[in-house]
Amino acid sequence: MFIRVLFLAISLLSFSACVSKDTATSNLTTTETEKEHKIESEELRLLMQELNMVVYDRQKSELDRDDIRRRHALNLADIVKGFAKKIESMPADKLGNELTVEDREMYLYYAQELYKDGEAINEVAQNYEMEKLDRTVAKMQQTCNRCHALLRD
Amino acid sequence: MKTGSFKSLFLLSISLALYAAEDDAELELLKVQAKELSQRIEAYETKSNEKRTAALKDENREVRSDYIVDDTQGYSAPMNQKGVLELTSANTVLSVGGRIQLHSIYAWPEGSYFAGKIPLDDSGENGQLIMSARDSRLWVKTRTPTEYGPIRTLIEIDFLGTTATEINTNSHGLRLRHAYFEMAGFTVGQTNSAFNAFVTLDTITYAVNDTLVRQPLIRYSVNNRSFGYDLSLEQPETTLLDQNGTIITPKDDVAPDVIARLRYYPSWGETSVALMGRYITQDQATLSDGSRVAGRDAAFGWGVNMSGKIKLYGLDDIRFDAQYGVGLGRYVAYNAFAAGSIDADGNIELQPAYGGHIGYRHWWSTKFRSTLAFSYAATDNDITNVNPAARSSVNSDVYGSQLNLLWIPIPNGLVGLEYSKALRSVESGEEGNMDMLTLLVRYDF
Repeated sequence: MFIRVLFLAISLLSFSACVSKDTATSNLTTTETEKEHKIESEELRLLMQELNMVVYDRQKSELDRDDIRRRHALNLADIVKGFAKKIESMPADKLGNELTVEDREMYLYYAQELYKDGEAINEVAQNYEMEKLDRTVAKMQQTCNRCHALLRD
Repeated sequence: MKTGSFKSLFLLSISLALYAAEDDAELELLKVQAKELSQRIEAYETKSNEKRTAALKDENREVRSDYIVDDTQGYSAPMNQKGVLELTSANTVLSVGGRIQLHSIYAWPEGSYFAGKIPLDDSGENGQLIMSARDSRLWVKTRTPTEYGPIRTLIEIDFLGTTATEINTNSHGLRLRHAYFEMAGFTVGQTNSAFNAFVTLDTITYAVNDTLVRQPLIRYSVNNRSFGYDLSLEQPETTLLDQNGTIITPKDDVAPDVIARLRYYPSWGETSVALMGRYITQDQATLSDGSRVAGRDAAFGWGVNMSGKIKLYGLDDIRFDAQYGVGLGRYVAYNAFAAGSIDADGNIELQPAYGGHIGYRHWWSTKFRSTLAFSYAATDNDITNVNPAARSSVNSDVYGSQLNLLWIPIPNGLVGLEYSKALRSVESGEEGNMDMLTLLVRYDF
């Protein structure tokens, strides 16, 4: 009987440990940072969709379209840099209760990378180097994905 | 991140189990189980560390996520820009691009959707199929850094020049659309007028009050993040309605059209207001019947055009454009109205023209969208100057509406189906309307 109790206890606690893992993820998503990040991610999505839609803007010359892309790219760089700065200056306890020291280091590392990506997008847009915009945005996208793969997925 | 929790829970489990154990046999069994669990935790930790290391070191690894990129919600991978050919030489970057577009149109009755060309009767054939690739385009642009900032150039052409026959080869002529450069805030060459609507409808056919003029100009622009303004001197072209109901172009202009435009990009959308002043002149103009007026005359015309976009939920938006002016003429509705009228003595009387359109664009998904739009344009002709028999060729007002479904099958591709209906009235009291179904297939390269 006590073996059953033991099995039950271990099973329950193991299950709770698994739940704890999921909770850790959801705790992470409920921090203020995460809430803000979700909003910013939505802004980024819309901005990127708008960027992809510029090609369909009617009655614009190709240079007009480049001006529109440039404006969107500058906004995108601002959002990305703003978020990266926010993470860097965030007290450790606001980054997520379940983050280990190691995770925090990774989080900050990716925030720094994101800031650099934002700077690169800004520079490309400032110089009208629109042919480089794809690459710089793709680099930012890669940073976002790596961070999410490690800390969110 | 989760190994700490695992360890605590494991120890707690063991403590509880030990407490519950009654004899040595059970204790031995527990020890074996504990050992197995311990090995599993170690394996988990190793795997977790490997994952972190891989994330840091493998710079080329592509990872998908539910954020930012091509995902379950169907957002395209960001930035599929065009301009596929890039040649770099001596700091100049040259890009080539364009679009291939096929229009397939059914109209009842046959006619054109442009404001001044909507058929007045239904004597034309119904449901004729017209297919055309003439609106395909090709452009070349360059960018060269200078001490005053980059100098950018653009030449763009389409094939809406001389019309060819459809019998054999459809060899339509080239037409210049844009040819200009930009440097240090100056734009010099031929391109869109600053009076044009800054925001346009997402439709296949045009709004009947459309303001689209491309002409030679010199413009100075200031661009900031949230606003910009332009001051533009543009090619003048007087258009006057004569007694025969024909719009003539005297070609006697002496001063450029002057346009000032303010652009504003708030978080809720974008908007612009353009003000125009123009000097309408004629000097012994030749009328449509070949006669020549003796005198000369001039008048000052003006106009205002306001367009904008208000963002709604997601990418949905409302787009609008409204204009009013005295002597607006060719700047609205594709020259359906004259800037003014000219009498037999050569006197000019400018006339007001006005119009507006509004459209709602809705996204059904990230690939499908629709626009429902209404437009209107009208003018107050000096009808006393026009012979009664000629009044059927003088436009008074036009209505239009469009409903479409546009699909993005691949990045930079577009397939669209649009139903449009338009109605035109002329000064003789006649009215005509047409229905049109347009299928568009297009790819921008």
